[in-house]
Amino acid sequence: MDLDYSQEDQQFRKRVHDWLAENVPDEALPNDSQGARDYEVAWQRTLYENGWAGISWPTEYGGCGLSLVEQIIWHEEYARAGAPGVGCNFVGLNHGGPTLIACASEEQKAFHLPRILRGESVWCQGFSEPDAGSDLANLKCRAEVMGDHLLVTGQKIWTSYGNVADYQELLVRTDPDAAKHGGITWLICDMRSPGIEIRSIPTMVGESDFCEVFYENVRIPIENVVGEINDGWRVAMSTLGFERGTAFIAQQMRLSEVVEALAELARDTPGADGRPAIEDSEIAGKLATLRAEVAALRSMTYVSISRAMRSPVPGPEGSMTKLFFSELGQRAYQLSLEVLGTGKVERAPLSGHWGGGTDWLRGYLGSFAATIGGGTSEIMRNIIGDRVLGLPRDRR
Amino acid sequence: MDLLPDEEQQAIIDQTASFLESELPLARFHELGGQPEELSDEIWKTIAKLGWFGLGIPEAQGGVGFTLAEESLLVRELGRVLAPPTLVATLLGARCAALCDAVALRDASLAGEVRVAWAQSRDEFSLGPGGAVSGRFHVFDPGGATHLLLLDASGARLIEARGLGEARVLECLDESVGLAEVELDGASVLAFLENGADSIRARASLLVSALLVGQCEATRDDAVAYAKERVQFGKPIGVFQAVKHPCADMAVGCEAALSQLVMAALVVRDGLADGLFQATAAKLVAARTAVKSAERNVQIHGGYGFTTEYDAHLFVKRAHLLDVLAGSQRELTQVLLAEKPPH
Repeated sequence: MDLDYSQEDQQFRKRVHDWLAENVPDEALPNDSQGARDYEVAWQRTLYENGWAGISWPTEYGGCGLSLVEQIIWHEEYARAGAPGVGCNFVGLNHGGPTLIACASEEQKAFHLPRILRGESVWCQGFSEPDAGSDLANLKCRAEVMGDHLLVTGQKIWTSYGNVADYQELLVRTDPDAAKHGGITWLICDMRSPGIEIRSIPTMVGESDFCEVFYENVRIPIENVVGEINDGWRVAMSTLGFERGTAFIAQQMRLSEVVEALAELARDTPGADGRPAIEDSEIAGKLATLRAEVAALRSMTYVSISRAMRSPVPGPEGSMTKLFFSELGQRAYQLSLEVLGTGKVERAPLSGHWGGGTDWLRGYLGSFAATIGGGTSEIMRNIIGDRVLGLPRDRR
Repeated sequence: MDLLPDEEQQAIIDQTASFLESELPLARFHELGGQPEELSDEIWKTIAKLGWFGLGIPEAQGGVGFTLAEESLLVRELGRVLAPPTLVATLLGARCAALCDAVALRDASLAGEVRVAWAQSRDEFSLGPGGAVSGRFHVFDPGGATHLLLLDASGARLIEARGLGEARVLECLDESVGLAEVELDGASVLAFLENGADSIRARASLLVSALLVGQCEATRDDAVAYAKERVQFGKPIGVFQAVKHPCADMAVGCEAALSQLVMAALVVRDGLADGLFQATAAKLVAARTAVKSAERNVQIHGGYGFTTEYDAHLFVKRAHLLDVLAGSQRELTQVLLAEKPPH
């Protein structure tokens, strides 16, 4: 067991540090969706032009092919430099792209992967439906195979960045008679296809990148099927092993900054008795616990990366980090409201695009995105119970 | 960068686990019948021969020459079977003696002739001329103890336990651990290992965390095993989310506590600046998780968990006991708020 980095890794760290110091934009992320998209794809373009696009992607597909240790270093330095969050490039870089790498044809890869890396196409996800949330395999959005194309009719929901995306990874039901997980197909959907209607759904935070998407006889060329017809469930699950925990390091380090800012807030905000809130033993105890848990979260990530270095096959342990991280973030924002006390009723003016951080009220409201999105905490607990602990499964 | 045990470390874990399985299995508590456990001289000597007490002491100072990382892995195994806390106090005592050049005491400790008991100050203790200690203490595992270990922010002190006069025997929350109240009046200190000369404070926190982590894992395993075998409403209760989800939380707690233990052990071993912060974080996370997991384990066992026929109650009691050693949660809060976390 060791915490050491090789000479080469230390040189790599310096190179990353120096490049980020030079290139991280000073401007804040714009407040409007289109402005934010422009900002984020421009940053992706900068990364691409300097050889930093797709840091975990294999080099044969234009990625950096960094080792796990180099990925740790990249993300640590990235967070320290205050570099922009991945934003609307998330699905392309971390889900859609990796799925294409795992399952797509050479033509599909050759067309889409460079566009994702260059920041030319933004992807969104079309998985959830009004009646298929945690029970994703219950999806009903229909696609009929009509020779050289499919005709899609139905609805998707909770699609982040659907309003600014170019392409969508779309799960449709191609065989309504097959078993639940069979009969699903994974499609590349051009978001500008006729018959698509996108509506923003206002969220409890107040941002507008959360969408529902309606499809009425949308023609999707048969070439856009990834994998085989009716084999979409396997394709959708193929990325589970792609992410080995490094991509969340930057987010975790940002959470650490949030907790430090929260300590600052507790020193500066008077409690009910007029003394600083941090002198309240309950608040002090919770704050100390948060600091300790943020340290533990980081350690968990390093342990899980250590596992990844030894075994190419990922276990279900990633669900533990996701659960711990999302609930820890939520506890931090809950505590910020306690610290603010009666002051919590007053919203700060929106400065820049919503991104959590130290906008405590929006951070608190937005913290539910982490405990619901990407698999709810309840689903995470099912996965941990079933696959980590081997508890008997409910027949679902 | 690698936080998993290497082959040699895994061998230490395996050997320790197999020794404990035959010599100190959890089943022994049924024979104790609610009395404090006192290890026999024979087993104590065997443990000394296995090198536990000198595991992390440099070879030049008579030890085995491993590090805090290996000690933490060994002590985690002790935690799983609720081994008496005096074993860890003796391990720390041997380090104090070795690093203070108290050669005779060191050699006696390594030979298994010394038993050190944790002494927890009831209020601030005072130091007289020559560093003599006065104050009131809770002493854990007083039976057979030859020395007391006193820990505070300044460091670790070893005091001879013989001739302390009348100790008041108390009933401990954890009935398997003896408890006495001891009044020291100018007791002389045989060895004082100053915090700073050695990271003894962080080390003590960490080794108690290791006991707690082992305990977290044992309660998780106990709860999961029971949830698989206990049938109600025609199904193993582990099918129900009301049982499955608390088990999942116990697993996450173990993962967090163990990961932080390992990270902190390496940071302290390597002498990095954030050693005290990491070790304190490890203790806080491990203690909170151990208490919560032990409580949930009782709840999952239902009526059986409420009895002493099952082991679930033992973990609750021991978790609270370990919570007060080497820094209670209140003290840890102060340290965590005062220390700057790494970035």
